[in-house]
Amino acid sequence: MGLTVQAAAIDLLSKLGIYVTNPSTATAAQQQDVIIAINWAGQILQRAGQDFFTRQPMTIGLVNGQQEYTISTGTTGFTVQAVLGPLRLNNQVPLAALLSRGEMDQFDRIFLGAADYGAAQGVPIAYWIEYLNNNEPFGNIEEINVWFAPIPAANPGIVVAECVFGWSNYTVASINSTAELPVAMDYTESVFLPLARMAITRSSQFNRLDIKDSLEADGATALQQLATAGGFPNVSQPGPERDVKS
Amino acid sequence: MTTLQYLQRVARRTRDGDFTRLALTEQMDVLEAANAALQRLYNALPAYLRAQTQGFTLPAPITLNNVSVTSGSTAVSTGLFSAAQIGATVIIPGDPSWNQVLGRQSLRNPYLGPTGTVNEVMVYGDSLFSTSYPFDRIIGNPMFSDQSLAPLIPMEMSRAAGEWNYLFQDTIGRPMCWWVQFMGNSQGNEPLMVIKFAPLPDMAYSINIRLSFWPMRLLLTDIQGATTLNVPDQFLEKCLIPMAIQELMTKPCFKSISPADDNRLEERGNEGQSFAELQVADPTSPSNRIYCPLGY
Repeated sequence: MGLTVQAAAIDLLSKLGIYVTNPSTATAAQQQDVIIAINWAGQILQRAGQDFFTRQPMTIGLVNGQQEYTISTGTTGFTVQAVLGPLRLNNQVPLAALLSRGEMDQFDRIFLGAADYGAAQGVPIAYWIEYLNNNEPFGNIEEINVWFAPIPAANPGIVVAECVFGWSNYTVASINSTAELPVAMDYTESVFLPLARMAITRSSQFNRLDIKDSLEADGATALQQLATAGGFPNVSQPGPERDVKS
Repeated sequence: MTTLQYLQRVARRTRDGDFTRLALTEQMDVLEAANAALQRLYNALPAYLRAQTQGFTLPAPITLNNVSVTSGSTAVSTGLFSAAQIGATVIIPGDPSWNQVLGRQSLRNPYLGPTGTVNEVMVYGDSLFSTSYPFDRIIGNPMFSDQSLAPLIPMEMSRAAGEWNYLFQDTIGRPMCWWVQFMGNSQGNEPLMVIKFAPLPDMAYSINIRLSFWPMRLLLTDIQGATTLNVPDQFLEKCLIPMAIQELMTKPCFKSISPADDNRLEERGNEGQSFAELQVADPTSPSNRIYCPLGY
């Protein structure tokens, strides 16, 4: 069984010198710092690398004549942190990545030897990922669009894209939640908690100088472990090399 | 071996080691290297691997009516001639000299008769060209498929200039000689050249010609269609793949492991080419002929 949010909060409060069984009895500032530490650790895990169990498939339903698909935007529509690829048409046929907007805009001219700009309708063979600021004045300002070429025609099917979804932040209201933390293989003690404990040392409420060095050392070890899981490449960049022993 | 199998073997040397993970531009890099190796291999292999006997038809004369012509102009109505008629001799009533179809709506020489509409325009089947590209060269004398007919004679004198032979000018009957006429392919004209015959055929004749071809270029559609490579199996691993990897070394997606490994790849590519160049020039060498290798 994994560690719950409440259990993690109790542990982090103890690092602040507050020993309670009900985290909501701590002060508002202490609760906030605990939740910040939990979210910090979770965001680090979610950015740890494509091979640290962050890769998830996402299905995009293609529409006849539609080239661009927004898969994530704004605070309410935020789901995807990055598109890793591969993208596979009908969960089977691999699509190739395009490297630039220019390749997309001149797809027919560059890759098919045609005279027209853009892409004609047909069966998609390539895609381009567009990472944009969505012009929102607040909240999450990211927008991710997926473009396909050729433009999907009649009965276009689906595309399954492998993505990294975003970390769902906890709020102070959930400090007593008995839900388990979403951590791969429930490795909360060796990975998640060391990171969260390192984060709590940055709290204004933290004054345990006797354990500060060991908490930071444990956190650094956890980060090193995550680093071996690989980098975090953009879709157009090569994946990290990974030693696999047979 | 299919195109995709070939590309995947070559792409083992790219930064990802996997063709399917490359961006489309990088896939084009691999395709470029693969095509370069195909072209090098076919250049190095003996000519008999590029040759085939292709059958053609010299069509019977065709009559066109209601043809609009303009005095002093080479233009005729759009699509008057078919693509297959390019290079053919055309006789237009009112025009004092014979003319030639240069394009689907153009003549070689300006029409010199009166402007108007003419009937009985005769298009003769005295020209043919190979629609199978990439075309390398003619390596055999055109022959009638009906071998009871007289042989066709190459007109060496006129081949360079590509002009009609004076011996047979303005004659119609059974072709007796042939020569080639170049059409200015470097200026974008097609076909590359036509093979001309004289006298102008009075009826349809079947012709066989030994031609040689370069390999077809691989395209994106060959990947999607999983087409089979037109390369004899015995040259795949020893020649084609090492040569393609050697070509890949100049591409941005190539992943160099070490200078020593790069040298090995260069050597393997060159050895592949040498292996192809050392193949016997004639697969039909009889065992009693001088120069025939031992054991054959």
